[in-house]
Amino acid sequence: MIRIRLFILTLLLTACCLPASGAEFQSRLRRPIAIAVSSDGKWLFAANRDSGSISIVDLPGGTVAKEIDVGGRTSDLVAIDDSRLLVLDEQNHQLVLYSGGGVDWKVASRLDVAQYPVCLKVDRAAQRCFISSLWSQTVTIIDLPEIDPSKAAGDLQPDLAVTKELMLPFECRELCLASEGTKLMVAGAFNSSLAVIDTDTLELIAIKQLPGHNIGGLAMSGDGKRVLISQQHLNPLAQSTQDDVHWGNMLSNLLVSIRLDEVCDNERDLLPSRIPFQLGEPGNAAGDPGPILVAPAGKMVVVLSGVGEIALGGDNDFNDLKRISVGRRPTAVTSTAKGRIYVANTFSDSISVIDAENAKEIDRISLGPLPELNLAQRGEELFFDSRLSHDGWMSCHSCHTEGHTNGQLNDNLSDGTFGAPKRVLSLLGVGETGPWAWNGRVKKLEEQVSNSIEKTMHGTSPGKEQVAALVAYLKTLPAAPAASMKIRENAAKIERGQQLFRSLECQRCHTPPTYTSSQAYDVGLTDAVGNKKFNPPSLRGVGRRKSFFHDGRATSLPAVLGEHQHQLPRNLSKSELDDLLHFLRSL
Amino acid sequence: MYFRLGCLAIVPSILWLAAAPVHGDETKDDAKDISSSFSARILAVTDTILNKHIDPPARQAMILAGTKALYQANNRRIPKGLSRRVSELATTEQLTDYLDGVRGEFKSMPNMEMILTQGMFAGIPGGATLINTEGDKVNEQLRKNRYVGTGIALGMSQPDQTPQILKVFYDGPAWKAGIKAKDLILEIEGQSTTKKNLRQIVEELRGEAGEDVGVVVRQPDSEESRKLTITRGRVFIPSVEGVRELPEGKWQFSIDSASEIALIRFKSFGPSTLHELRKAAEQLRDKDIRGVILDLRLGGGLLHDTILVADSLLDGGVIGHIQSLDAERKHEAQPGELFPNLPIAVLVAKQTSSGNVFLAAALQDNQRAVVVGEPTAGNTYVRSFVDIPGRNDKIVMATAIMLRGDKTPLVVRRSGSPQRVTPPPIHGINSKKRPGFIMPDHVVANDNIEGRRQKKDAILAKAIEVLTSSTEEDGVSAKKKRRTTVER
Repeated sequence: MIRIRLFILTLLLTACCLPASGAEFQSRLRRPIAIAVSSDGKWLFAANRDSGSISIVDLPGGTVAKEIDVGGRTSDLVAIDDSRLLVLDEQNHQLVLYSGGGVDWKVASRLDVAQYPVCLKVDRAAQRCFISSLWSQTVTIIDLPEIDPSKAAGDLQPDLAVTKELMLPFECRELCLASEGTKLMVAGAFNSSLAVIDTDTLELIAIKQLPGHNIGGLAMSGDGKRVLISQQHLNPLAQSTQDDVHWGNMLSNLLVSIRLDEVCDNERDLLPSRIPFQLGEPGNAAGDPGPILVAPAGKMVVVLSGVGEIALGGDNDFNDLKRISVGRRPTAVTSTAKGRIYVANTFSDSISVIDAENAKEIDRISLGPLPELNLAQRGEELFFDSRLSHDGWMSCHSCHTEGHTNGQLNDNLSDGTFGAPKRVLSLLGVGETGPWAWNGRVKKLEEQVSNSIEKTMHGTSPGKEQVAALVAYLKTLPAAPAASMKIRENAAKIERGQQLFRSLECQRCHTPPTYTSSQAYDVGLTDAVGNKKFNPPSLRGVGRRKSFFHDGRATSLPAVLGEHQHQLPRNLSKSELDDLLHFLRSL
Repeated sequence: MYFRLGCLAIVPSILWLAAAPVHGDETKDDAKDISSSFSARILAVTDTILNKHIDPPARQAMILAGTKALYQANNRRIPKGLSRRVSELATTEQLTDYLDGVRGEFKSMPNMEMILTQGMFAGIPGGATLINTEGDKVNEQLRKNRYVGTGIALGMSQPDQTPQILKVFYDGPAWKAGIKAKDLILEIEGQSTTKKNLRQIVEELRGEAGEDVGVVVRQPDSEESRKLTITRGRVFIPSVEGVRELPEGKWQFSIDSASEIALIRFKSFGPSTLHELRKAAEQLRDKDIRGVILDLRLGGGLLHDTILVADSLLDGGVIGHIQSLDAERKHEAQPGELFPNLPIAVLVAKQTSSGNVFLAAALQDNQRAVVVGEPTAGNTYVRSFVDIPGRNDKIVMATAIMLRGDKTPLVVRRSGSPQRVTPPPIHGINSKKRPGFIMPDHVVANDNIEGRRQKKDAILAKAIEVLTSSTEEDGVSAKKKRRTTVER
């Protein structure tokens, strides 16, 4: 695998540093997801996820000056200074260092990092960078080299090297430096975990759990004393009724402020100092809040990704946020000292320019012509669109984060009743795991999609075309990577575990290759309203789950087989249990 | 019914699952039911109670109570042996024959069916009421704070019998149209309002969302009349109030005489209550508040929304259990609470009932609040709307009971008249958890006539005293030990 990747890489290296085209840009999907502005405010660099390219925008001219193909799928970008750019390639699991300036950039170095790198931060002294890798649950720390600009493009500069890798107990995404760069905060990608790394000792010093899920933004307050978090909160006590949705009882969109010193101290509870601000209001909700920017001159921006807006206010007063419409699915924000705010509109392939003083969008710069979208691409846009729901409270992504799950419980009607909240299931690989809903009563994925929009999100009834687009998108989602990234080392155990899985007849309900089946079974579990028959969830990615069974009553995989003795015909020895767990984590 | 709607402003505060009185008009509506005879209708009611009530009396007991009510309403002596006769009714045929006989005997009596039904309901634990479908539609709008209308409360100005607007709901349709409190309504849709009663006026003002209604109004002390058009729409009726309503529609929550204490009064629990409470908490955040008083003495509302409020005020812990015929459900609070670090006092009184009792008990049991006031009355149930098969109305009755976190019931279940449960004596109680009651941490015998006359609220005064005298350490010790991390 790695050898193949290196081969592709070599191929790419020969071509990718050339500009994609001149003034005329080709029609393709770009999907900008990260932006940075040069220190003189003249250039804006946008990392385009789908085209794997960087658009270089001439800000005074308001046009794209050049587009550079990085290759793969870019996930983040940082301008270290005016001569160095760092780009993450999520598909090739690489960090790419560019050197140059203005519109002229060349690859100075590439480095393999922990798989699925998604977020990048550089410390203030520009000596070190930090990368979070989603599925490998890893933070990689890299010391940055000085660039020798005289070297040729093909000459890899050898001194870009991994300093340390830290494994976390959760899938991670957002990063934020604090306390003059001496602390690094790492947020969970799905649930609301927070980890703190001491950037001097490079040790993990604290792990905290916040109420809620979907941390979309992480920033420090202007005074550096509080951590600002944009996130969502799904209340398992609420029901997916029109009323609970309308008043934000079921799902609320929050800007949370907590004390930094309490986050960093494992011994202290951070709830007493936690201050939640409700973003949006009944009638005008603010679904899927994303990145937060604490800009100069006391301004603060929260990107409202689901409703295509940003909320602008003072960095100390969140009560009076002014909402400004931008393009579709804004996912990144940056600013200049001159009071300009720039927002990347992922699904519009554009950059919004905001005049912070007058709270107005003054320009929208296209990154290039958009091709006609195919069904799955239209489905992706719908999946992340909160306007599909009543008043914009939530999108599909609000519960099925990036197609996965927020790990929470929701009391909706997909089991036919209220009163028994159920675990939100991952949609990764969902196209192959019918029937759907916990009771397995839904035979067509289209029906499940319509049910969710109408009965849980309380949006207007979706058209056939919309449902087809969402289903097409869902079918493009591959199953989550296995929890165990060390399959080769544990091959013998996994093999024995697989034999055990067969001999214990686990596959009767959890049938390979999807590790589920089409029936609903009574396995001795009863929900809060008396339902006993459930369709077995697929075991693909089961090692990543934090809770198990319909109501999350088991909180670890060993507990499913130990404490709950889930469908075991006999007691397992310690080594058998270990083998079986290794097998399950390899799925 | 219609008159009550005229006083829309006041209705939500007295609703617990929106019970409305049985009304003469509704009985007439019942007569329109095609399929059912008198006896079948009465038996359908008793069947529904037997099937769905948490603690139903025997069918014979209900019918006996109903028959007795008819004799009493007619000022007639109850015949000797009536109880024995009813007790011996066993089959549906016998019951039908008996009820047909009752009907024959009282057929000249107006509202006969209503009196019989009310008599039956009087002996049912937690009481019961009938509500027709139209009334239920309006009540549901009110319960769920989705009322569609003009957004005013109406009365009759006394000497000249002209309809007068008592209250204009903030930001509602009438507010937006420029209607002011005290406006007299002179015309509706070009028709004069003189010689019309309040019910007719309300009927003319009522309509669907988006429809316009033209009115001519004037202030009582002004000669100038104003012609305005109101576009009917959703009216938001606050369920959470403070000390005083400010002109911009917000409430002032800090108490004038003790500005460091906030007072939050729950008028009724509905879907908007949690949102309003969160907004109140945001509004109070910048103020220098040392304590919060939650007034749970009046009002009722929806249990579901009461549980959401309990959850929002508790940082984990068991809220309580709801025991219905089919199941017993435990409700647990999620991590995180409103007003963290602030002491809370909860005001209760004899009339505190239903979900308010559940909430007060949850806050007391989790040591989140001190309870101040009178012991509660102990006669409260969870009431629901239950369809009556074959009839176009519903019955509102007790379908579940509430239990504290340790499963102590919050109702005194005993036979006989459940409405007259004696609260425990104020002195000499050593258990806060005597079944059925909430025993306040600070007992105040308030609400005596003298206190009311002087407009003194001794319970509120005591709560202010408790909160202002509690030192920092008290506040901390009253709180349970917090988890350092929260497990999910």
